[in-house]
Amino acid sequence: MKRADLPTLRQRGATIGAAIAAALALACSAGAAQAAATIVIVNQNAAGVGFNDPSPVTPVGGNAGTTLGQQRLNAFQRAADIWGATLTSSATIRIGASFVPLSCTASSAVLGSAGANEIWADFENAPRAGTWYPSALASKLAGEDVATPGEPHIISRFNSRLGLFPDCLPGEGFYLGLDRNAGSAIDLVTVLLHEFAHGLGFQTFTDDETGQQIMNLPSIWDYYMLDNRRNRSWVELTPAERANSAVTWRGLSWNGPIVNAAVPQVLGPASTMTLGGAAAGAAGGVYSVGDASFGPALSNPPVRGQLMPVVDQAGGGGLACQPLDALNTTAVRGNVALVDRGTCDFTTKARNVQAAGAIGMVVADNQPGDVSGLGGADPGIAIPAVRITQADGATVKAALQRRSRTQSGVVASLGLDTSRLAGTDAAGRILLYTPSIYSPGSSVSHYTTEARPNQLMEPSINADLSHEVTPPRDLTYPLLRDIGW
Amino acid sequence: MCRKQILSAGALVALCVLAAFSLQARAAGQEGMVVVRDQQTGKLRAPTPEEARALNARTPRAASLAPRALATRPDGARGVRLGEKSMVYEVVTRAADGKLSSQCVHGEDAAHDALAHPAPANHQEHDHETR
Repeated sequence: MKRADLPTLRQRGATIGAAIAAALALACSAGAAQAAATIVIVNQNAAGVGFNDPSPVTPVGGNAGTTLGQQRLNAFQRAADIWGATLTSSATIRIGASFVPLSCTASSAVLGSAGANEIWADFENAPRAGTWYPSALASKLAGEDVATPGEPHIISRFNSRLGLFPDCLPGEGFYLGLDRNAGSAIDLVTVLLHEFAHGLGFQTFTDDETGQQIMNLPSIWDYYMLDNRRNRSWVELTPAERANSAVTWRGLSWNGPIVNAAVPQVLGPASTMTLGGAAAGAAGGVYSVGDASFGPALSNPPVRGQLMPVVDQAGGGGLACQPLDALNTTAVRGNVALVDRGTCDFTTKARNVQAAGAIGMVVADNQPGDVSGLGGADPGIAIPAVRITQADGATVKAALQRRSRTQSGVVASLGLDTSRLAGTDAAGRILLYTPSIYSPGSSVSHYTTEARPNQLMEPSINADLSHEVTPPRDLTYPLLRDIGW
Repeated sequence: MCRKQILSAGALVALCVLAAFSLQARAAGQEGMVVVRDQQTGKLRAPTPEEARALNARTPRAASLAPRALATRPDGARGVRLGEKSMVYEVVTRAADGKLSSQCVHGEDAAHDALAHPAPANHQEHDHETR
């Protein structure tokens, strides 16, 4: 159905009917979230496909639907219910939604896309003049529906072929259960919560690659996104400065009062590695590290021991992909093992150094980049593990050149920096996602991947996310409040 | 002979005509159907994956994807229809070891690029990157 043809919507349980010429969309059922805001899912699929797919399925994870289409709709409704229970607005929020074939290959796929359909400035009661607001927020602030009549506030499309065809990431597709028990599949409700948040306003409309504003007007987002090196918000920067800050590692922070106040409630202390000891020399100091999703989390007092490299490669590197030989076992026993990333899973390396008696593991990256974490799961791993950058790895290895079989004179402490929260800048503001290596389409409209615990609005959907969008677990709603929700 | 060779340039022109409707319809939020004419049988059929990709690459993007200014209202309110160019896309990739990783990117072009070139490992979050 063309969006302009969307009928006026009613609240909960409304059924939309429309007769559109041959074989195009039929409007179908829509539901609404009960709470402070009413969110309506506008089913834009034609009969027999997408939300209306009659393929029989078994109820899963609290989703009682018995057809594929109904289960999809139930998952959408759950995400809408969560946001509806969180937000406040007198204007009904419409999400135009469909499952359609999207781009995919045998090994990759577009899961879905979403965003604000329209943006508005200088509407009645607009808090800031000459500033773009997403239409859902503009409608809340105006106290009436600002969107073009019949237009949804948010548009979303999801891949109807995902996991169902050989050329579209065959195998596990979306997990349609509502109980966050997705296993290795993709939890659709979590993805929807993330995508709907973008549509509600968790995004700038300024081009973060060129820094250009739409019609030379800033987005409401831009007042709160701070270049923390220049100490100026995006509305105060030139386009070139904005573009530059978008690719400056740790260069952008969110500076909104509500998020700032909630950060200490939500984020935990930053993990660090401190190097000291008689032989540390220039390598001594505090290092940023990525956390592991396996083994014990870092804590204080730190795990402390001689840092000893595993050497099992001709060039002097150490992968620890096989059980350690006698020499390496002697080196790491009772010490912190330094290994290189590559060839095998991080958990395999951890198992091998643990079996040799190591009390901790440091993985040095094998390619340039920013600090990142160690993925994987293995309940048998009982030692802490962290990851450092390739550059830091080179610095550390230089200090380990002269060592005995059991000692290096470089002492590593793996613990917490209680003076800094994970994913924050020096002033305690949460960082936004600004990878230093150019990645097409990477968007500053995300939180940093350094936040701990993982946040819904990081650029990747993480398996440990809950369906919560508020503190003390998550900082998505505080940001939406900062911009006016 | 591989399918790409079978799909001649002439056939592609014809296919694009058939596909253009469906792709633009999809951009407007409508369900589309792509069909191709089989060179050997002359009958319409669903495209093979290679054919579909070839069509995607050759079909001009619908103009509706670009942001479009709306008429200023009497009360001075100004609006823009963003269209799909400004949407954020969630892209998932399966690595050689079978593990899935996802990334959220801005814009349709970036989504297609992410499909072809998964983000460097250091751009992905640790819960997905396992080696």
